[in-house]
Amino acid sequence: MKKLIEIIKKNFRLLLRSKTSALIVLMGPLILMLLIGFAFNTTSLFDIKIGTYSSAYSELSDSVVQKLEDDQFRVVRIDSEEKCIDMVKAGDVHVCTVFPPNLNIRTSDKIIFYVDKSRLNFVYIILDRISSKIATKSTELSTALTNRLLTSITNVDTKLDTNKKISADLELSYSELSGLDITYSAANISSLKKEIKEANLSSSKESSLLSLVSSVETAYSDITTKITLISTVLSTVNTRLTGNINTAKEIEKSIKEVKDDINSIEVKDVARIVSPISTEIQPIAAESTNLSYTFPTLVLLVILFAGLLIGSTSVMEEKTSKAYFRNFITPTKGILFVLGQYVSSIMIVLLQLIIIFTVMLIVTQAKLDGLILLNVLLLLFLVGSIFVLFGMVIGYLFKTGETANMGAISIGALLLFFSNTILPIETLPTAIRSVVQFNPFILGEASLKKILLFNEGFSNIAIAVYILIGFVILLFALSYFTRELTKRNVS
Amino acid sequence: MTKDQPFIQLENISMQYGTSIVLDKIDLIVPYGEVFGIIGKSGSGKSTMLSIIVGFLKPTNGKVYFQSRNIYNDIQEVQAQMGFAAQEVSFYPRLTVKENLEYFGKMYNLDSKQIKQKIPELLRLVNLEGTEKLQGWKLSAGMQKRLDIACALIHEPKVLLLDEPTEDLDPALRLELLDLIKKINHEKNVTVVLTSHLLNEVEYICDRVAILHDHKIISIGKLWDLKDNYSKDHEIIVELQDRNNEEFIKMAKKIPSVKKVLVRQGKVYLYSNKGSDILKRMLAASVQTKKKFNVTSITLSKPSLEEVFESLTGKNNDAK
Repeated sequence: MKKLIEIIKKNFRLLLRSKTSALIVLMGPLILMLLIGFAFNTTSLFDIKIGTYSSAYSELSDSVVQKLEDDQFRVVRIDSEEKCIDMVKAGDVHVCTVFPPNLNIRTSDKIIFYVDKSRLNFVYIILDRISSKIATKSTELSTALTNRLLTSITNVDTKLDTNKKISADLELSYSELSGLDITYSAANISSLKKEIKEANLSSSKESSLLSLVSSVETAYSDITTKITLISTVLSTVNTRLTGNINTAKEIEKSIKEVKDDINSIEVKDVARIVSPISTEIQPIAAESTNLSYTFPTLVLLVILFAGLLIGSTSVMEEKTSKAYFRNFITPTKGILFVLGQYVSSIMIVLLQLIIIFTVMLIVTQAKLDGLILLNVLLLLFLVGSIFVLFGMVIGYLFKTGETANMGAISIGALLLFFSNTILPIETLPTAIRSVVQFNPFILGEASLKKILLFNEGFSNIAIAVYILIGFVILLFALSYFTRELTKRNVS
Repeated sequence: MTKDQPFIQLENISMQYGTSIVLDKIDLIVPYGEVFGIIGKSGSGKSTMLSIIVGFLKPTNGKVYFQSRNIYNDIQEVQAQMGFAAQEVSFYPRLTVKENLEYFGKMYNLDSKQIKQKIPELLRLVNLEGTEKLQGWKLSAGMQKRLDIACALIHEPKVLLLDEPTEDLDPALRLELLDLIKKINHEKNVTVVLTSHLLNEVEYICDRVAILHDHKIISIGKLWDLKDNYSKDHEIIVELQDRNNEEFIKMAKKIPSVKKVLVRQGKVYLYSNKGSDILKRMLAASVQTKKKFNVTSITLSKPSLEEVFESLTGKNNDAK
């Protein structure tokens, strides 16, 4: 133990006597953290330029452009589609939006966005913002159209009600017509004529009466003919009416079905038809600044690079030191030197973390209870140990400071790239993802988020902690063996 | 322990890196209390041999015994009794003299009280008094070398291994350091094993020498025995005022008993089994009235280690 303390004491003396190294090692990550913190404190986008082009702007495309012009976006109308695309390539505008000529709701033309996909996350953020702006306009249009449709349906419904009695009216008419009695008793004109003749009337009288009777007979004959005709017509009308009544009944049935259909539409509210599913995003953690959400990632980022660089630099300093050889010929076990180097480095990393957390707690005025703080410390200690030991392995493995630094930065970049920070790991192929999920950066970041943002206890991060402990043991053994294997290069 | 007992013993030691042989079946005994020199050309395996003795490297074959015990049975126990100063100084330049000694004292299992007592004594021995608070890098080359030796002596080792101790030092500092080694050997009764290719220094300081050539020890023994064994001749060194060496050499070669004539650094070296006769002739020649050669000095001695080394390893070597 005395030897270990002496090794740690010596390491700190050497670090503090090299003022530049001390400044870089201690202050570097803190300055980095401060700058990142300021930069990522908000998700707002500033000074985003959108180029738009259309061979013929319509009222609709103008209104979309107007919608885009707000505090975040600056819209530049460009003369040609090619120029617009070139401006994206040159970085003069971030997105080029091409509206089809005379865009209106009746056409199915599409609005085309030209983006520079090499800017990965940024492109998706911009597209998301623009899409949401256009979606708002689209919703407005959709609401207007739906409103019109609903009004028409309501009108139809009302009008159908007024036409509901057609069959009843027809039946009534049929009934009235059927009730008409057009029967009559036949008149015996020939008997009348016979009676006149037998009445011994003067011939003039008789002839005038017979003449009258003949005219009556003629008239009667006309009437009976017409009545017969009327009867025929009535019969035809009745037949037709019966047919019409059936048709009317069928129409009424159809109207009833239409009305039933209309009435079966439960939602008649325009807003609900346009957006039938309402969504609301509720944060699972308490509302906070963006910095709070990115804080676990930022802390891990600092530990990653600080750990790797401190680990590799301290070993390289020791290796290139004139005294390195003498340590090998003292009666001190090699593992003690590895342990001393590790403890010194992890102490520096922990010191940085304490400063970062203190500043963070002061700035955000957040309160962490003891248990959470204990879990955070345990987790960060483990993650820090992994990166420090990783750095130490690199330090023992490489021969010069330059190559060791390159090695440490490359490993850091690799761990960072295969994490959720640059691209979500869900975008990686399954085989790679199954390996990458054990990336200590990912394990540490996810666990830290669970503790800090969701206040979850140790049981929820236990598996990650056990994996991290496994990493620490493995890397410590690797550090020791690398030191022993490379000692031949010392003398 | 007496001087005749094997203190350190290397038995059939071979060292190989891949196909490259560095040491080949080395057998060596270092007696207690002596200053033992290992000489050889650069790359002959001198440093490797010391690294094996101190337990830093493990040989491919063979065993190393320290006080009749195999060192690999308890390497740390052995290392606690050995001090080592490599060719390059080995301490922390950013730590002070005192901090370096404290640190290595702790690494050699000393407690703070022991270290506190030893530091002034050690600094007096290596003549670094008053430099306790100076950082290592601020010391001169000679002082750094002495601090390095102090670091190797902090735990009062029984053996001090020195790899090319005077390398890169100026002549004055070399002599100073050689005297310090002698002093350590005498005052502290520390057995010293050193390597060097500077044969005059080895001759100056060592009691016994091993000559390493082609990765093997080709000769080992006390200095005078070596000289006697490998050359019964005397060495006559003649220095001329006008440095008319060519004429002198022509004349010397005509003397029947002169076996070999060499010129080194302007001086003429004659080797003969009748050294006293030659000396008389030279002295006579130097006092003649019509003297042909103006002799400023004549020395008669047994042949130097250099001569022995040359006769054993051949002339084309870089040992001086």
